[in-house]
Amino acid sequence: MTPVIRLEALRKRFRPASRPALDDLHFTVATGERVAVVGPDGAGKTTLFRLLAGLLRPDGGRGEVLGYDLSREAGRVQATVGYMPQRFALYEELSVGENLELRADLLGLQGTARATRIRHILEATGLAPFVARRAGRLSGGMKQKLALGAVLLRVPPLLLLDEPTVGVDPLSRRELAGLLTQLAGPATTVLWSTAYLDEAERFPRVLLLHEGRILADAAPATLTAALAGRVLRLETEAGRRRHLARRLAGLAGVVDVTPRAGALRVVTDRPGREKALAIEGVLGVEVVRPRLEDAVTATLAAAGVRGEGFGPKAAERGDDPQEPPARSNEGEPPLVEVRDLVRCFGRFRAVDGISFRVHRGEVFGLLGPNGAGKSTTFRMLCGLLPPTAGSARVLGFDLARAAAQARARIGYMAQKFALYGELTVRQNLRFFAAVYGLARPQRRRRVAELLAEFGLEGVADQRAQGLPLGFERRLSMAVAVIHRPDVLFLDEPTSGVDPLTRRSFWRRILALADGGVTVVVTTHFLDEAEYCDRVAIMDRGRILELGPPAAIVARTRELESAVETLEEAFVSLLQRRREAAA
Amino acid sequence: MSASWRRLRALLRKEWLQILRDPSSFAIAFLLPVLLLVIIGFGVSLDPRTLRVAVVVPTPSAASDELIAALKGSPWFQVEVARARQPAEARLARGELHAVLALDGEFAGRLAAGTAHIQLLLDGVDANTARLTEGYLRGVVALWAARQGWQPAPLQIETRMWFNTAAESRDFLIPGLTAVVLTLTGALLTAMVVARAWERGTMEGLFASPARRLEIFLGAFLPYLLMGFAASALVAAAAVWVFQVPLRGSLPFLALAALLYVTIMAGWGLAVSAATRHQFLAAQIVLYSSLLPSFMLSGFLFDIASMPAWLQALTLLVPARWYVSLQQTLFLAGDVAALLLRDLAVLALMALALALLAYRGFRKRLD
Amino acid sequence: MWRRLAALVRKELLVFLQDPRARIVVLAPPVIQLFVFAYAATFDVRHVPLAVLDRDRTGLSRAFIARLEGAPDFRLVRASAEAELRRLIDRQRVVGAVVIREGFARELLAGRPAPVQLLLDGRGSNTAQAVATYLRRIAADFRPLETEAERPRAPPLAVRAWFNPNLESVAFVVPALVAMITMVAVMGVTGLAIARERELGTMDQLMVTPLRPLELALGKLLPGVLLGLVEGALVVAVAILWFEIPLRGPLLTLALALLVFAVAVAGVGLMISALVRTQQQAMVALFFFIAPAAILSGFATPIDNMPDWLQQVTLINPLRYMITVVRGVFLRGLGLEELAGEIWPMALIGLITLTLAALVFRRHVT
Repeated sequence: MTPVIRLEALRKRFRPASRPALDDLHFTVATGERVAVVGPDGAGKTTLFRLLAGLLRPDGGRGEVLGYDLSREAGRVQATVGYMPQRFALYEELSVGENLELRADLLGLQGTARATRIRHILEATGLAPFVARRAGRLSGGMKQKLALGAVLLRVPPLLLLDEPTVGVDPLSRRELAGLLTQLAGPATTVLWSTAYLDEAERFPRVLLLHEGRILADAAPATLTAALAGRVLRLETEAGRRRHLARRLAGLAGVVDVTPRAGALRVVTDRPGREKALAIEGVLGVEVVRPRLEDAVTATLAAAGVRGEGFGPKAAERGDDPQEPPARSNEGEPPLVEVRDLVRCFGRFRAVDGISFRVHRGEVFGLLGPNGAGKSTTFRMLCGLLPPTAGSARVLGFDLARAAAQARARIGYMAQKFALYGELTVRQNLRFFAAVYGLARPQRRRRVAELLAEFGLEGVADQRAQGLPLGFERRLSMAVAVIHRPDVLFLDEPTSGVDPLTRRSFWRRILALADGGVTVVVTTHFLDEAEYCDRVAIMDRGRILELGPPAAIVARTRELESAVETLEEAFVSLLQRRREAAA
Repeated sequence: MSASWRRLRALLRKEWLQILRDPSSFAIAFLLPVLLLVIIGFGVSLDPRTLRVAVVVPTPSAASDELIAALKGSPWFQVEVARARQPAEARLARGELHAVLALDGEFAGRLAAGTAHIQLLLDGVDANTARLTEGYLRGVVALWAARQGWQPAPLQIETRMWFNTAAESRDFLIPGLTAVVLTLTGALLTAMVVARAWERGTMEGLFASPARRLEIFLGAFLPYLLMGFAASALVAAAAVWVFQVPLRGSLPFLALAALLYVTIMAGWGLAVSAATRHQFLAAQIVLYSSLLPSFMLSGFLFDIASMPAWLQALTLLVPARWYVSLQQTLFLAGDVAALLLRDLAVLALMALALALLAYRGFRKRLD
Repeated sequence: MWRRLAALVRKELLVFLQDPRARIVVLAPPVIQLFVFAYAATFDVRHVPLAVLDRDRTGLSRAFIARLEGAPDFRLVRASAEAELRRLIDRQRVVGAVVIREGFARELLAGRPAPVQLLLDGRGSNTAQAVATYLRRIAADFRPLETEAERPRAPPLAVRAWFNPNLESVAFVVPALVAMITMVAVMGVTGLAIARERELGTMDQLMVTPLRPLELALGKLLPGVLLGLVEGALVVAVAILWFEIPLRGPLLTLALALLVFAVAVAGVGLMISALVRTQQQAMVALFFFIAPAAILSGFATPIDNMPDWLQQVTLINPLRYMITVVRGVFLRGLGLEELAGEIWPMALIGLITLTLAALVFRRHVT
């Protein structure tokens, strides 16, 4: 049987002098295979998908899709494959129903089969109640469901999904994956690219791209097999986890330390390191199953990829082995205090009476599915949006009304790059330093300090626009802390960056918190949320759960014993609530 | 119904809904043509309504009284009579008067001796109005001289204005206005909406679908063609019924001309949007490459014959030049075959070239 | 406050000078407008093609034709038959035709008015009227035979055009471009400023800093006014040095008026900017303001020619006043005293637009 995809030494280059976007690609995909394509931003995933969809012509090598040659028969490829671009490619001015009808017309669906299929898609995606709503007014998760539903109006022999879950919460991500199983037949071949490695792990085959080349092409189990015995779970004394994590990271043979459900997860360079890790404060060591993320991190590291991480590794930093004194903040007034906060848009209650407090030096995570009201809460906290009722006080001020001086004590890092692309890195920093009122000599000193601290010296005089994503995020964070704020708001600080870089961001965030900075953060990576001291899980404008990640996992486990991680707890909680509502 | 036709119909419907639901597109498609029609139609005129003239008569005489009477009898002038020159000149200098007609103190005496002359001072700041003022004043003075029974001027010029007997600038401006309005619904709107499809990635989604190149092209082209055509009908109707411009040519020619011109504009809009794939940039380019020329280099307002040679050569490339010429001929002269054929042929060639150029952008490829 | 404001202005200028797109918006219009308008916007009659048909074929008719030929206004095209004239006019090869009737010389010698017919193409009625005026002028001076007058002769007109002796449109158009280009620059910067920051997301980043709304508004207003004045000054220089239009009045008056004008339109720009969500909408809104403002300003055709109701509308158009000022200073040599009547309405409009902008800003931005 002919394979669905066959690439031989395929190459694509956009500018003659530049590095090829894809280079020497060899692989075949058989009918019915499900392949996850992973790799950091800029690895060439989108270029690969566009080539396979017949939208780009290869510059070298051969490529065949469904038996059609990619160079000569691109038109046939376009007409046959189902392709969902990374950007929302439906019409925002058209309603959900109109978008589906348009797609059905383009696909040539007719008669009762057409009406049945559209109804089926609307029901499966849960969009039936919103059929008249304009696509532009859907939440991120709903948009992606609509886009996937539109591609699946006619089940194609090959489905190319370019990051269908980007910016989508864990529950919606699972729902999207479920939709795919439900709507596409077993004969459909699927290529699914993603930044979430836990998602990729559920695929039978994973393709790891890096700088236009394939670094790995195997089943997740094969990739993780190399790490057998090297991944350990360490129970720690309560309240000392952060400090222990830092000490462990400094030990010989430790590759990676991350928090997980109240414990620590450690990757070592070889099996049998259990003894060495049993330092004071560690209550128990247990070998656990390696995850795809560990394998990818290891593969990237083996390929000499340093990631776009920054700052000295904990081990080299040589900072104080002394533990910061155990803080007791309970007596102090909270730095962030939210009381019965409500925000309505028209008749819609985006935030519906929430309350929580965050104390000095705490890292507080705001989690929830798309449209849960996280961003709205976040914007109210920063003073970007006035509340309809209730109060959101930061440092004792209501920022929506407070004097400008209050705003001088908070830092904010937006979800998407929100600095001046035309200015250089240095000019951006100087500008914000001046806006925060730093005098000239101070300004100069502080900018130099930040350039060093965030590893931006090499790009200081480059324009911010066009910097690799990791550098962009670093610059954004440097701007957010330029005035040494007391409270730092981070809106999805690590979205789109590779796992190595994400680690370095969290090292920095935790260091800030140790220094007494209060951090409020949102994220869709729930493994990251495990770094938080406490999290609030929101849904439909209300808080479902509030507490330390381990406590939430423990509470959820009482309801559903299979729950081990925060992500599983999150999904379980939301599903329960949805079922209860239905 | 064939699959192809069904796809095309779906695409047309989609485009139409997009225009209706995006505030900017709606404004350009429906509000701007009416706004321009009103402000250009009423606001741009080269015909003076009242010219303020002071007549300086130090010593009144029968002849000077009759000159004043003749001026007052003309519909063009608002006349004031002064004894002294100084204040009248000061007012001319401030721009409060268009002209000063000055007789000297011994006008009556010198007239008998045959040495009299009249001084005409014009406010030259607005050269065109100054010229027109001079022309009208010469006419009145000649009339006055004839009534006095003086020896007439050696030449008697008998003027006949063809096509526009009343010599109203509005009659040639309004037909040309269509060119300006169609640039907006044709090129600007097309460029903005289609560039947005590129920018947002919806074009990418469309390319990766069974829709054929021609269907996508027509889906993006026909709506603007129709809207442009409707706008031209609107302007033509307003020209005839609101502005009372005579229409001497035939409707089929008028329609054909509009169709060709709108094809050119929509084609240009599509080509620019495919080349830039960026709304803002596309709109800027269209504004400067088609709106500005349609106003300045088309002969709509400014006579091409008076421009420097290099600029005249440049106007040959401006579609609006040929279209404005067609419109003026069709409205004011009628179906003058020789003239129509030349302009139509040039427009047809341009339309073909631009339609092909626009079609090139729909290769269903992103590189 | 000053430190933050200075930082904002500096940033704004840096962004505009470094962003190629912004550069196009700010720098391309003045250059294109200046040269296209200056050369194309002309109502002058210079070397326009005019057909001549000489039916008389005498020495006197040839003398008259020689006069026409000597005038810089016309380029003569000889025709040999009536039908040819018709064709030349129809096809717009000529703007009109002079027909010297048979008996031209005979009538002239007999002291009777000699008949000359002037056929004009009304499709360009403005040019046609200019041609008629010039022809009348030439005809009035054409006195080939000094015969003894039986009756008193009609007194000739001695015409003098003040401020622009050769009646050239360029003197009318180019000074007005100072106002026009300043307006487009100011609005281009201020009108897009906030929408741009909103689209890029930088607005939020600014809103969480200690900047006050007033500082933010001033930080957008000042760079726009500054760039507008710089471009205006460049056009003044080009007008004097390249187009050789004399600057007769005080430069200071011009500068003051331009400043008031720039602030007034910056208010409009800021208002638009605060109301719209995207740069695309901002551009459409700007167009909705700039197009009527330019047409209803007396820039190309006189306000006096408009119907009364429309003339009333022009009273709220700041460009109208600025164009009067700039022509007044350049050509008439007027000073502050004479032009105060044009400057205070702009100041009033500025006060209103700034107040509105502040209100809109408070409501929609902060």
